[in-house]
Amino acid sequence: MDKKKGTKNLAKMNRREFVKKSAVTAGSVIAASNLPGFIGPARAATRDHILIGRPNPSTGPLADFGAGTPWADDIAVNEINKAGGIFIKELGKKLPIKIKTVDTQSNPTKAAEVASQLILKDKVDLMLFYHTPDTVNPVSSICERFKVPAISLDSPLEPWLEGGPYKWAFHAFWSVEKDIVPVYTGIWDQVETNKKVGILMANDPDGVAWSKVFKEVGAQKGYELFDKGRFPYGLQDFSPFINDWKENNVEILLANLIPPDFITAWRQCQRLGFKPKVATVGKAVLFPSVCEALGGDLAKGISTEVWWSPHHPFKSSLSGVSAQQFCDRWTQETSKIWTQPLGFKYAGYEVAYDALTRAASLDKDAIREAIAQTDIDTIVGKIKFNDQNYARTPLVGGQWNKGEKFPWEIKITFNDQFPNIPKTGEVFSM
Amino acid sequence: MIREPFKYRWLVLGGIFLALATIPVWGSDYVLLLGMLFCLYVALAQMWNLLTGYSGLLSLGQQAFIGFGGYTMAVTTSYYNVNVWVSILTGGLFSVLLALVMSIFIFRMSGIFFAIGTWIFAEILLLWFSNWEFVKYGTGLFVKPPNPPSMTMIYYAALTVGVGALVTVYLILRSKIGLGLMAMRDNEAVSASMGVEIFRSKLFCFLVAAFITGTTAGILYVFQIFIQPYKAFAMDWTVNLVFIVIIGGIGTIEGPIVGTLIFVLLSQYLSEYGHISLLLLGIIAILIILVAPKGIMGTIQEKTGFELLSPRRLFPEEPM
Amino acid sequence: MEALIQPIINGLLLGGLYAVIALGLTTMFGIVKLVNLAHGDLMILSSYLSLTLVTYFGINPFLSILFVVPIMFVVGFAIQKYLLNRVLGKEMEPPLLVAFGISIILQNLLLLVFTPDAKGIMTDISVKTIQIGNIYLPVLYLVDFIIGCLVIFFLRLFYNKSFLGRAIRAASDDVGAARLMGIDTSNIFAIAMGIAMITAAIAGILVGMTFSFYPHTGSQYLIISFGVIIIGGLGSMKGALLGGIILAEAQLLGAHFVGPGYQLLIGYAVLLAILALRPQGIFGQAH
Repeated sequence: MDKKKGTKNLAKMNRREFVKKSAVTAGSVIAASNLPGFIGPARAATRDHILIGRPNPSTGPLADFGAGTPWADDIAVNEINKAGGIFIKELGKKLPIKIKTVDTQSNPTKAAEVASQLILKDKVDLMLFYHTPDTVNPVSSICERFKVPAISLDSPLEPWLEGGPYKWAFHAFWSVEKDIVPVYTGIWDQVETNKKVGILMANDPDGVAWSKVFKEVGAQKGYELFDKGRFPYGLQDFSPFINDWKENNVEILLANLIPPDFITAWRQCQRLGFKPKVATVGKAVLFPSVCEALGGDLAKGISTEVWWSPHHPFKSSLSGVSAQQFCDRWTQETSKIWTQPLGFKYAGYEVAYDALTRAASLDKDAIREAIAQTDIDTIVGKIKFNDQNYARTPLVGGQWNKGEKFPWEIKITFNDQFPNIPKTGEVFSM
Repeated sequence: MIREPFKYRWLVLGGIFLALATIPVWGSDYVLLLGMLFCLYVALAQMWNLLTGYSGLLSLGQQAFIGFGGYTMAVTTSYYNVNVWVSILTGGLFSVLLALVMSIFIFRMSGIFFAIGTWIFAEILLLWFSNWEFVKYGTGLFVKPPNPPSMTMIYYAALTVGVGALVTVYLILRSKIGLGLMAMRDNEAVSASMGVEIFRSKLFCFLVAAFITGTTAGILYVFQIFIQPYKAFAMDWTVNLVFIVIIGGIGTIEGPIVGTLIFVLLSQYLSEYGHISLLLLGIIAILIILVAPKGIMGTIQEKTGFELLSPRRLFPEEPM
Repeated sequence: MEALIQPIINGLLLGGLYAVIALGLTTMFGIVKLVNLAHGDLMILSSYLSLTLVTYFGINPFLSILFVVPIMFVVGFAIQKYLLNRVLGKEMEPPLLVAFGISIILQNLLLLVFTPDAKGIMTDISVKTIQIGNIYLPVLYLVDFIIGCLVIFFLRLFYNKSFLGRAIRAASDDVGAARLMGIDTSNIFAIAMGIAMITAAIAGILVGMTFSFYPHTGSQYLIISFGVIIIGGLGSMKGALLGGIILAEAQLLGAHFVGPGYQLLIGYAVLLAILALRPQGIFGQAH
């Protein structure tokens, strides 16, 4: 290109010099276009895919959340790309989507770094991320700063809202105040107790948000809450808490902590003879692997929140597959029991596909506008973002017990707020 | 042994500085990010080197200043709406106060006890901050300054602190304090006879390191927008600094620079395999200690006398 | 007052466990004058080894001690002989930094092999308690304490009475003289490290049964070990027992009075205070 133009205008130049100069020019153009964004914006005008960034906690304390990636992601991507992808107006053709998954190591600082790299080095068009405030909060902030549209799921609303107000980041999940409190207190109501509740919560975003809300609302519902304060990760001796509960005859346990700390605490409860009638534990006992790590029968009867299950009566907007079918496929291909994040990983792509299709453009503002108008029924429920950029997804309660097909299975035991999600069992006292 | 300095050193240094200073012009956003990380880590590494390589103060607790400086900045700017640059400097100043408090306890000890003391302080701060309602417990704080700076401004702040750290170390080492410290490093008997002066010099270096580390942390957390106690006060910081300085060359001024370059590039390249990169760094570090204990720059200096920035004065007196 | 009895007894028993955790570090530090910053991680390595044996071969965790102990002896011996011995010398930093490097390498290797999931070694007695009136005595804590005391007793016997033990002490006091006596110092130190690793192995298995652990837990126990040593005094084995008990009591009583979340913090604060006031510990010699 340049070389040819140069030839016509260089009648006077020495042939040798010319060859040398054009070789150098050609060489540097080739080099520059190969250096990954090193010198200046070296992006060619032709694009052949839409790039979605996927920061994911594949390792670290949150690895159980991250485990369904890339399985769920690949299914969604294949469905989207089956018919060629998404039509982009300015290029006049369909582009497939490509994802770049990077491990955040369950570390918020690393998540921020990873997000910055995806935006600055890989120049993603859209960011899709999930799994607890430790992943979602820092990445949302980075997307806001660099003005990249972001869709996130699977992290309670209140901690996310603290980083707002958001223009570029959109989030969907349940709220502690509007969802967790009714579900948990609902479960408590199902069992005959003396209405005394012991609080066991770490000093992380979840623990702080939950304890605050429960203390405000608990009394209204007729429950007496005993709170000896927050504690840091890695605490070894929970006996001050346990002794306090025993002294006060507490019969209900309300907890939110990371799995390793819960394993330590629950075993100590057994050792010290504290046996509550109801144990509602947030975050720590979402996965069957934790039930197994507890050992023996210790996990029997623990209740927790259920944000997705094969029994949820929702279908994929991409392929029509139901939640049950999706879970069956997971079990078939991995021989493992389903886990809650699977549906949410998939749903993120439904939202992305819907928004990108309506935007039909790679322009970030257009994509952002399109996301704001989202109103679809996904495999996790209806998602429609409000003017503060969030949507509430349905939440029900469940209880663990020894299972038939798998060592540990969870049954849906409380669905008052969303009766269209069927119950599969009744709450039993521990 | 006195060797002549590399003749074109000011040219080389000037060239590097010019390249760094103009990144916003010729580099992509990604290069800007790398440059910022490079400058910040150079500052941190220089300070750790000042303490461990020159002052004989093995610090395993730099993260105390990083977290404290970062949090001070975040609280000052987000809660009290103070200008972000003032907040960053406030972070540095509060770190100095922290260093003064720490010194009351740990300056009576030496060697490994000093190191453990710094580590324990950092752990105490970690637990304190994660349990403190004022800073929202372990949730962490969002950094929301009244005047959010652009990426370019953040970069220049990082460049300032990186160059500033380098200049500070250079000046300290060339001054009387530095002479005393290096004499102590080279000859144990000297330190016994210099008693109080050495104590003051070490304390001075400790406070300076605290200031620069705290300020650097402030800039870093302005960039990251989010600070959280478990990572702000984590041992990870010390781990990285130790590796950087060991590999680059402990006790040399160029060492931390070379080490940081390797570290930043390696961790970016292997960012998707975090544990492998740490594993690799650990193995390289151990090999270097066993085989070439002075690190890359140290060994080069020893074998070839090549020094870009020599802390030693030479005869005849050279104009700065 | 009655409410205090439980934490006090718990602290006593936990102190025994802390003591045996710190034992390897204090013997290496006090006798060989080497600070093994990888001590905590080596201990957790033992926990993982035991877990693997228990999971794949179904043996009782206490039985796994028989297998893990020789493995860890060899590991310790090798690390000392081929890595640490090379940097033992006048300067303080190189051995510290090599140990530091080993610590990081171990942590990341464990992460790669075992993933970051929390693990625990489950045994039948994990949840058993003996109830005496209002006091609950966790059987496991009791077992930890008894085994801990036994290990300390035998180690002390070894270093004070056996030829090998005294040779180790002599060699580290005066390397030159030891060589003159025909003692191969590099092997001697390696054996000392191997023995320290034996205690670490036992400690690791006990810890794995009592608490949950993951690849980074090593650092936590390293700090506890230092705490025990600082309080009890460098190189003193009975100091380790006392130091362990004092540290555990500080933690549990602190938690009782100030708040459970401050448990670790109180422990460290007490540590810092002792470091500042009497850095040589209770049984140590003044510098």
